[in-house]
Amino acid sequence: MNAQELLDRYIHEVGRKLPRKLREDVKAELRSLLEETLNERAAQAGRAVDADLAVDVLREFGEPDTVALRYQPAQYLIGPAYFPAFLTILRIVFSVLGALFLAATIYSLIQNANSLNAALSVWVESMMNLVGLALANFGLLVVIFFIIERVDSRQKTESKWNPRDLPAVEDHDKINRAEMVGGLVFLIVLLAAFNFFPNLLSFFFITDGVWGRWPALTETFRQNFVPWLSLLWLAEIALRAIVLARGRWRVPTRLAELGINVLGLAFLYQVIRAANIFTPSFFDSLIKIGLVVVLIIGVIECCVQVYRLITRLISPAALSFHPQKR
Amino acid sequence: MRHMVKNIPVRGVNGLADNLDLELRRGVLVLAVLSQLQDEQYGYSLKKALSDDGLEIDEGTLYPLLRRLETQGLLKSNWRVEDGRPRRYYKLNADGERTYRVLAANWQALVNAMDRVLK
Repeated sequence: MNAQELLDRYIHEVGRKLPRKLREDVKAELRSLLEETLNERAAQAGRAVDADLAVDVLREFGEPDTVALRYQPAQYLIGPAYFPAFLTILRIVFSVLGALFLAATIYSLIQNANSLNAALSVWVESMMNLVGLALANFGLLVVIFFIIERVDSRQKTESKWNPRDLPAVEDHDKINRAEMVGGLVFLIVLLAAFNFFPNLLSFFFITDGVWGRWPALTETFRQNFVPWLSLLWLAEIALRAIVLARGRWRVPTRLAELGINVLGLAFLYQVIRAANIFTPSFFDSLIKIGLVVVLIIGVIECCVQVYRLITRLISPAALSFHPQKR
Repeated sequence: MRHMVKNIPVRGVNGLADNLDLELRRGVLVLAVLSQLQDEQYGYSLKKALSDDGLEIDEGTLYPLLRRLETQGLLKSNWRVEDGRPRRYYKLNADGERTYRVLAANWQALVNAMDRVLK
């Protein structure tokens, strides 16, 4: 291989990676410049142009890919202007998918609680579907943002933002007094109704001008579940009273809240699986479906609570150090 | 401030320092190139002109830079045959002249400030 051929190969390689518009012109310019460099170098070294010299010159020039890249402006799939928005939306989409994952898991557990094998196979199948869904969504999002960036030529101008318009910092532990009291009263009413005035919980109707009533709850439900439900409600009432007296949530009360929630979810699960709650069966099935949704939301909320508690406990403020003793 | 500025990346012990150093020179490079293009130059003569003043620039960096500056609308160029060889000559256009003056003035202010900062 002689110097000329090395040059030809190099120029061809750089040309491959160049945009079509520039290609021929840049290649011609490179050829002229490289040849001149080579000749000057040879003259300086006092020898003829040969392959080794060409290798040195080309090495110094740089790798074809790198050099070709320098002829173009920085290229992004999704540039800095839109990447933050992309990430935000990606997070939202993937949280929804995460919720679906949770729902699918709970569903397969409930439907196939008898056989672990069946539950597992249902779960695996829904997982595979979910993975496909996740990938498709990701790709779609990338394509959308790819297009948006290139179509929207409007540069993001620094508009006059107002520091006063910033949202207030959330204090999760502050309580809304009115809301708390309202919730408390409601719970007391529920407790009383279910325990002392079960007759009120019925469907009232008129036949032949006479008021009749049809008890809403089944006897089994009343006997087996209402006591436990009442206990849960009692605990919740006590907790709320304490928090109301204190004025805000603290770690112990948060933990108690978490405990009651978990127990409540377990109870809900049992109810869904076991009994008929309401006497009309179609109504019952309808309610059961609603309860499953409530259960799923409840589990998600529990996870969020746990996450919040953990981050609170390991935050730098919690791991407080004592000030230096003089 | 006339010392050798080699642009061949050195894979030294401290890679981070090399990267930061490269970042530092990248900004200087454009101003250096613009300063020489008040007269017509082609790639190789530009490299020599800068080298004579003590600024060594990688050819693989310099030539693409000339193209980019032209694309950005600061230079005008044309092909000419000199010494039996086709060459692409570059020169500052009106926008380029204006930009160069602004950058050169800013540079001086920057250098003065940096001298004080680094004291």
